[in-house]
Amino acid sequence: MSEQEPELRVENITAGYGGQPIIEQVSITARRGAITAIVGPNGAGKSTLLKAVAGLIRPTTGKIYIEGKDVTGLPPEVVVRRGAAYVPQVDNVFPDLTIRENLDMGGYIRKSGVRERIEELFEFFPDLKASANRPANTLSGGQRTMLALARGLMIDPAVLILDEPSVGLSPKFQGMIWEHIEQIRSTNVAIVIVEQNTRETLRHAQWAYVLVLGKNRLEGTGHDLLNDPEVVNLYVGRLS
Amino acid sequence: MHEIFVTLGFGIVSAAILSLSAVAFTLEYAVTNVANLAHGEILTVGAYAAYVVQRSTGNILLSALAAAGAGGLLALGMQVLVIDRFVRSRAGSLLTFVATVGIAFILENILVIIFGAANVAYTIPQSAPMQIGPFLWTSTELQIILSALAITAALYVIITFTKFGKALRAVFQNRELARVTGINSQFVAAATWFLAGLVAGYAGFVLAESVGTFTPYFGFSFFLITLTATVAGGLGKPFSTMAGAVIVGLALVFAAAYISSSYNLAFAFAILTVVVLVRPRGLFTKPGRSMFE
Amino acid sequence: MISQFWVDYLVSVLTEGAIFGIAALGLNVIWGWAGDFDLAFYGYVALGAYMTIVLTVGQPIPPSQYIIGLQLPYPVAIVGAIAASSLLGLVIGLIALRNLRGIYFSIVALGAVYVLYVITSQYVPLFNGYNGVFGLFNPLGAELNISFTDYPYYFLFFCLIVIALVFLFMARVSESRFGLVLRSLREDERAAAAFGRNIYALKLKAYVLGAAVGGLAGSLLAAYLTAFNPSAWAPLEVVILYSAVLVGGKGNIRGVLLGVFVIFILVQESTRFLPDVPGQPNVVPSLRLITIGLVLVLFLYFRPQGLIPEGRRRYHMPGPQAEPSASGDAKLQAASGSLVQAPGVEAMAASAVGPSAGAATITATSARATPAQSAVAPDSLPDILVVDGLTKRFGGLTAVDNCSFRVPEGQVTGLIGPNGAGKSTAIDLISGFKLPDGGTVTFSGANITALPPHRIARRGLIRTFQTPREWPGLTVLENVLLAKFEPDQETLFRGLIGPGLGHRSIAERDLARAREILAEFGLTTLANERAGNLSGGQKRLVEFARIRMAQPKLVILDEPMGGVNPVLGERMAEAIAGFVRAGTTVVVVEHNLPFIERVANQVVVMAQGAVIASGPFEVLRSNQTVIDAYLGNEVGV
Repeated sequence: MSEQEPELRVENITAGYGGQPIIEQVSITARRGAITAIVGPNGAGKSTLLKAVAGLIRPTTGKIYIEGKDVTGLPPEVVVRRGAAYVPQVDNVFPDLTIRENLDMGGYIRKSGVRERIEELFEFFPDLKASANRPANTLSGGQRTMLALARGLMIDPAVLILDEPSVGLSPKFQGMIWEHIEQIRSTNVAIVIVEQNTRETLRHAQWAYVLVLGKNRLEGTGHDLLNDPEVVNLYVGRLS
Repeated sequence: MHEIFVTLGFGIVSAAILSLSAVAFTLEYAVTNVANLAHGEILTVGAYAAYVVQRSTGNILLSALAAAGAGGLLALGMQVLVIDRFVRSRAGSLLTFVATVGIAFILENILVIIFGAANVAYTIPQSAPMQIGPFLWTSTELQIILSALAITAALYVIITFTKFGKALRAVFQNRELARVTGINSQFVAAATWFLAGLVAGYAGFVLAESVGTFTPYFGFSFFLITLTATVAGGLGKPFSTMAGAVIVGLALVFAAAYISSSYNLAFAFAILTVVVLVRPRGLFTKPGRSMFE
Repeated sequence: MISQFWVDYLVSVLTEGAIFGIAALGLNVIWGWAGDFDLAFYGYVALGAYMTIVLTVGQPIPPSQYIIGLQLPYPVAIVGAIAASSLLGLVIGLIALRNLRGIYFSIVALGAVYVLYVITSQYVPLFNGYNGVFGLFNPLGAELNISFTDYPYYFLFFCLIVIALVFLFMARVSESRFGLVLRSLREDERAAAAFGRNIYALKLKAYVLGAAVGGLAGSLLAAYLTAFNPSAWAPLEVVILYSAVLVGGKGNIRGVLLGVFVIFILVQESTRFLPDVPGQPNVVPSLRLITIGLVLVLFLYFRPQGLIPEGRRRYHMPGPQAEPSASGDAKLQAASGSLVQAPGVEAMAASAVGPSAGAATITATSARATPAQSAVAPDSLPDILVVDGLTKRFGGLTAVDNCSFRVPEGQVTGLIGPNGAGKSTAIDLISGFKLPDGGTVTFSGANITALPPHRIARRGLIRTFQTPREWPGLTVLENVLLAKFEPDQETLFRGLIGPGLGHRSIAERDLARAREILAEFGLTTLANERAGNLSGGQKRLVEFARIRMAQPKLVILDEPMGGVNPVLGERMAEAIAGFVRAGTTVVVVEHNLPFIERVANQVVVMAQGAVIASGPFEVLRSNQTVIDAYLGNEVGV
């Protein structure tokens, strides 16, 4: 890995929703042009981690840096201005707004070039261009996911945070989403992705973290972890 | 046949006033998830502001502006000083609702101190009724209808086409997503309440014009009808609410004409009860199937 | 000698205070105990007042009209007034409490009282419209030979007796099973339904009781005012009563009376002697009301629990008790060892790189005990629960898709599957919390599909929820006591006369059993602590203790290990074994698979809303379909 400052650095954060913390002392790093995956069995706190990075939950300990700047504890309206776009798992579009309006909203903090960026994204997601004036709640699952992705990309983010984008999608659509994600990676964005389909995710990830019960457990390249029997154990609980 | 048009004409006026009040209430709800029981007081304050200005300047336009301005400031104050604090303290929407009841109580009595509890007459020189198509309307009624249409159109433009309007819809549809898009939901809430207050204050002004006399309590009793219209249309959705207001407004006027006029509130409650039991999310949305869904 | 003026003043203040105190105690039943924000309440007081007058003074001279005019003795009229208010409460409650909660309920109640107000003001044949009813002078004064000047003293005495009786009534009901059950509705309705309580019926009872007491207050008010008309009341003045109940301490009958003292007496009377602003007769009364409104809002924000918060009764428990935490934000670490994380047991290695040894999340220091698995093959057991073709759609999404499985009696069945598999929705469908779009659920041979949750619970099927649903404002002991649905002991009648023997409100027998169970779960020191102050793991233990108390035929545990420290896993496994020994069949939904392995005899695997496999866990864990469901399939090149 190169020595330059990673786009996203999360150091030892503990966070929850009041009461018991869901993640404890978790650290991850994500670099430009790489897909960094967060996987692990359910209840591992993966979504909580993403929400903490996005600013929706305030960590009780630890630090979060985006492009070297401390964003710990800042609210989401500010975090997005530091260059981190968060795409939630559910409720990730504005249902009564059209595709174009959703993208418009995505560009809310842009000072200029909203229209141009929308056109760029339409090139990237031609399927969306065809339905540009349809309200988001009439879209299919796959289209909705693409819209959610595109909305996040409107700000030209340094860090793109994806929470289970392929959930509920057919294998064909999952494949399409992964193609898009690879293309986004090639534009030098740091992608942090949580996914259910562990195998497929590890296939694409440059680096991956396995979280179990709210703590860091394993990490390594996607390829290594894909072939590591320990990972299977963690999921189906075989005692070693 | 002619009878129907007289009633219908009056119904349109009532529907106009009601839709203004209802859309303001629904905007307040949309952006904070709080049913503001003090909403009626915004209308009352608007009416009194107009009354004061009318008495000193005799200028209708200034009175109308005063009503809107007073309403806007009051609503903004309510939101920023009280409601927002309750919402941020995670008190729960029921507790906040109770607080709005307290606020309504306080405001009513402040007005009683300032203006007294007795009826205040709000008379404006009116022209003789004019024939417009099949309808018979005075100049005041015409003013009410046209201004309501204009305000509705303006709201439509604001909500649909401006950046602020889109931010408002975003916050209503998905507050969390709006935040991660960079929208400052607190600011949007305050600005929306100000806008709603402008509309509600003006609604108070036209309501006073239309009934001719009012007391510090008149906004609250109109509020029950506003509530019926909003719930019928769908809490939080501006255009459904307006549709609901038109339906309810017309229904009430026809009931008043053909059954009895003193029991307006009773009819409103009957409609409200039926709607809440059968379609709690509004006439235009399907309800869930069990009590817990 | 104190001047007569002050004596008269004191008498009238105390009389008013007593009357509003009675009303406030009635409101407390509806809002303080059952938790319903009833804006219609003042209407019951008003109706009581109206009815009392028309039932005692007879028909008026025309053109005045009353709908009914009798000349009954005052006590009989009081009974009539209470009956009328109760009836009105029943009607409004039937409509408003069925499906409405929160603001929707309040709105409908508000509408109802406004309708009442409008009708009594406008419809002359009812109570003479705007002029109202009048003429109730010194009821019973002539019969009892009380002079005109002495009457106020006697009436005050009468009111004080009435409020004392009402207070005693409330005190008795408050700590009875009925009172506790009402509070459980306020604390968590779903949990109450899951333990067999008919929420609608209970809320209705509380509502009618409150309305009756309101009517009683109204009948006293009528005698005090001698007349009643729309200017004597306005629906929104119910805010004054709410202010009193909230400021004093809602849910606490002493608090309510303190609140009445503060609001009605302190605030009202401290301003009574302010000079009136010349020409502005409204200033002082309105200032008073503004103060009351302000006090309400300030208390709502800063101290919603009131001056004397609702205290919970402390029962005698053997052994040392934890100090009750004042604020309730402390996570209690009980002295009892089973709840404290034993030092040296590191559940997870936090190393960032490389696999760590010991993936087990359950202490494996002792030889792994064989779980409480019977040697009986599951297939030969009768099925206590049969799910067949269960389906549920939400809009375009099919959450549960033709799901079918069987649960053999007397064993532990795990229900597992990846996220989004539909397990929790399936549980909701089985337990009555959601209505299925298709399929059937058969429990102990009977078809329970689409029954409401409390009916299903009464048949012996209890479920827990993904987050602990204890009744946070009640103590741990009370949580456990309420777990057993005792239909005969939970009525209002029983609440008054007691469980049958002696003075105890809660039967000694139930108390003893509850103590036993708390001891079994190591919760004795926390018995008198409010359940809401406990940590997540402790709350789960309380839930388990509740199940033990209820001893259902079947319990469905929805992710019991969720949010719980893994060290508690063994404790939970033991508890589950205990359930089975006591005759309860267990279904456990869990993501924590080592835990499932520890406790379950067999598992059912769900994915995408349907069952994809079932059988012993050992076998299924190597099943490729199951592994694929958890880890996902490779999608494409």
